[in-house]
Amino acid sequence: MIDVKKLDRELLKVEKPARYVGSELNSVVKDKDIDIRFAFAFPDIYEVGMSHTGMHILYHLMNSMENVWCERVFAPWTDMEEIMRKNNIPLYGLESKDELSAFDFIGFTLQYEMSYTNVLNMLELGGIPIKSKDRGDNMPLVIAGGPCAYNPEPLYEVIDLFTIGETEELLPELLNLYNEEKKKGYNKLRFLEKAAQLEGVYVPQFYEEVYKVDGTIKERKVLNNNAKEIITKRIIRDLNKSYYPEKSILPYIDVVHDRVVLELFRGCTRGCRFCQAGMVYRPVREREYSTLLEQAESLLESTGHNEISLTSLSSGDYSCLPDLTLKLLEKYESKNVNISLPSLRLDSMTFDIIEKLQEVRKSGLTFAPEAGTQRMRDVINKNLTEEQILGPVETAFNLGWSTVKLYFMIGLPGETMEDVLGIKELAYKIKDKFFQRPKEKIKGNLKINVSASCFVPKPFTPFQWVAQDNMDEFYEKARTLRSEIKDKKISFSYHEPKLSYLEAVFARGDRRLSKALIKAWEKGCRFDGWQDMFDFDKWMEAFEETGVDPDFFALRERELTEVLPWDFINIGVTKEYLLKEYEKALSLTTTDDCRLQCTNCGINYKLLGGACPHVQNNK
Amino acid sequence: MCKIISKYSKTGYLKYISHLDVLRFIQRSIKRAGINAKYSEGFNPQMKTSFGFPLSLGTESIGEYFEVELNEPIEPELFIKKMNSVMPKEMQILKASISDNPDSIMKRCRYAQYLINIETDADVDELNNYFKEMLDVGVVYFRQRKKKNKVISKEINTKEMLKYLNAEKTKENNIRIEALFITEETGSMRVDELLKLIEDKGFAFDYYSITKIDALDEEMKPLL
Repeated sequence: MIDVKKLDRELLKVEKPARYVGSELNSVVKDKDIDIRFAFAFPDIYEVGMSHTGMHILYHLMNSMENVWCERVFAPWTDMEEIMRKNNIPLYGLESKDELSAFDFIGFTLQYEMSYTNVLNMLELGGIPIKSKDRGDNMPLVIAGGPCAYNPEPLYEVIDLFTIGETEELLPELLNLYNEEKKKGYNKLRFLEKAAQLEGVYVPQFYEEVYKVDGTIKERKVLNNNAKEIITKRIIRDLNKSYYPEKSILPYIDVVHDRVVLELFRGCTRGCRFCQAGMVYRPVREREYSTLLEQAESLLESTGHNEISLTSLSSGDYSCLPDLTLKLLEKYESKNVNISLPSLRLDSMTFDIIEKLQEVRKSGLTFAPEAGTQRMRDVINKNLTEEQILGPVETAFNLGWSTVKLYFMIGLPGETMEDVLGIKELAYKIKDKFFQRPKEKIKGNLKINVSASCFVPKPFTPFQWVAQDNMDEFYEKARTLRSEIKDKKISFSYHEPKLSYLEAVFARGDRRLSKALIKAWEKGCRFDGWQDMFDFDKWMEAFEETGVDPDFFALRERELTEVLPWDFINIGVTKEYLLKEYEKALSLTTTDDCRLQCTNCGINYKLLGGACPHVQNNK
Repeated sequence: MCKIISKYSKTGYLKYISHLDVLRFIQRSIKRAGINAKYSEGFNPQMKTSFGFPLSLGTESIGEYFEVELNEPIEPELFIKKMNSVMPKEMQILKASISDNPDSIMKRCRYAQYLINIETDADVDELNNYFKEMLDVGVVYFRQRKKKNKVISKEINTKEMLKYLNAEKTKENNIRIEALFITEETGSMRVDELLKLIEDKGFAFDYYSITKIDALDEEMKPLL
């Protein structure tokens, strides 16, 4: 255990000390004399990590196992890091205040690439060597999962073992295996060899990447007989039977999302071509209406939250959405509980619901057309016409809304300046919709917030081969929009291109990035996703000094035949399908929602997640 | 209508939870406990609660107070039972009763009673002499705070802010100070200011802990 008196003496010097003390309601404290100690590590600050639903699920899932105690650890903010280093206070689990090196497992969730330096920093602060090869049998196993684990290679030197896909079933299997091994006398290599045989486990040290002269990958070699050539993602077949906690930890301080979260379904049938989640979480699996009602009941009871959030990749697609929301309203409206629906596509059906939800407060409405012209929306397969955008906006205005947020991307494949200016055109058309109504109907002060992010090509999407726009192109597009949008009612902001560039480097990077990552961290890079902390120059120095060319990963268009660093992972959706979608994008051809017609993405070949519910529509 | 006043504790690591966070946490606890609280009218209904003076961050307490208005009467014993089943062990309702006092908690609270433990080998008698000076003659210090770019300095005299101070040696050879601060709605002296004065006088100490014992009314009796 760390010196808690020393901690106590220092805590008042930091911003929000409550981040570092635990003791929240519904947090779990067990006897330290237990088989397995697991530290669930979120490589960002407390407030961000505590808003992550996955953490709450896995925390309570592991704690429901009698022989496991799962605790939480977050990245300390820089003020706290300074104090910890100065006073030799190692990073510790919030529940027990034991230093990280005392745990059996440190499990990182990789939600975004820009958190990688925090992973290294947290290990070091916990007194754990950052490289897998420097950690012997007496050190914790460092494992990682989450969306970024679909391209695990940039962290191959750091992480002992990756879990690929959904881990609600895999984690207990892994922990049980560890317990058996521990009883026999634990040996790290032997454990990793056995773990590598579990479906969904990737142990990077059992493989080697071999490169061609031009820098592309020649082949991957399997170095250990126990390791599989292809790693198939794990998936939960039946969400109704899968674990969902009845309680959730209640933070004392304000966190990003302070509400009960119900997960309506996993997966998405829309097939937007830029979206990784839409591909890797296939097939769509819904939770039953009755299951969700029970979960709402117990979670509200255990937290006293004022809000229920109905989440998924596209909540409007949930088959029982009207019934569910009306039932929740009926049950909880009198108890001052609000219901929110993020990720909603706005069409006439959903408007009925939103209007009921927002009877009291007319907060801003958010639309994500993603691209300004029909041509670009066809390229990305957004399947949204201008009428389908303007219609709902007009309805919203008539219902009394006057603040609209619009999300776009710039730098999409094949984009011209005309497409970029289409963003402005669309915003102006929306403005006209507001004022082209009878005077007596115009109420409130119109405010349109246009925001553009820089497109980052992601693995396992039809755009995994494309070159990202270079930073000059991004800046030119963003500046053009800034100077063209002159209306007082419309504001424009854009995401920092440098950050998107670095994200693109790591999203599609390979093993060679590891040394640059470590170098950047040694130079002091942390919290790179935080605009005020992000230090681009340090990153460029790190690439330079390690001889890594970041452009090779972000700006290069890949040959379609090239071996990609993530090809050894099988997400169910086939590479042929992604390729077909890429070609359709180039020829401006859209693909239907797969609820209308099966698009033959491959998820059914081996029935990874049970039969796709939409396959019966196949002609 | 029914109004309940309760006294609660805030101990252990919860001493790092700010006043506003405590306020929200207690409102949620009332909700979780299934207690039928009154809400304000309007677009953004708020639960009708009121609290005492904010406790400084880092200070434990066994004498905090809040009031809540309810739609229907409840037995105080039942209120305590329901609340404590949904609150952590570091924050528990210690007492509760039906309140018919029209004055706010802040208005009724005239003195705050503290116990301060300091790890020091300082001489107790010397310290008590200094305390006597603070109480009888008065020690003047300045409280500075920044407002925009200006530093505003406020002169404070301990004589007007302190009612009682006494130090004694403990079994562990530390010093325990009992302090009674005068609390006014216009402001009062803070415990860390007292500690700073002690330190500045030359009494060195390494580690300390502060516990608020209670809030007293004008008759020097606990509010509850």
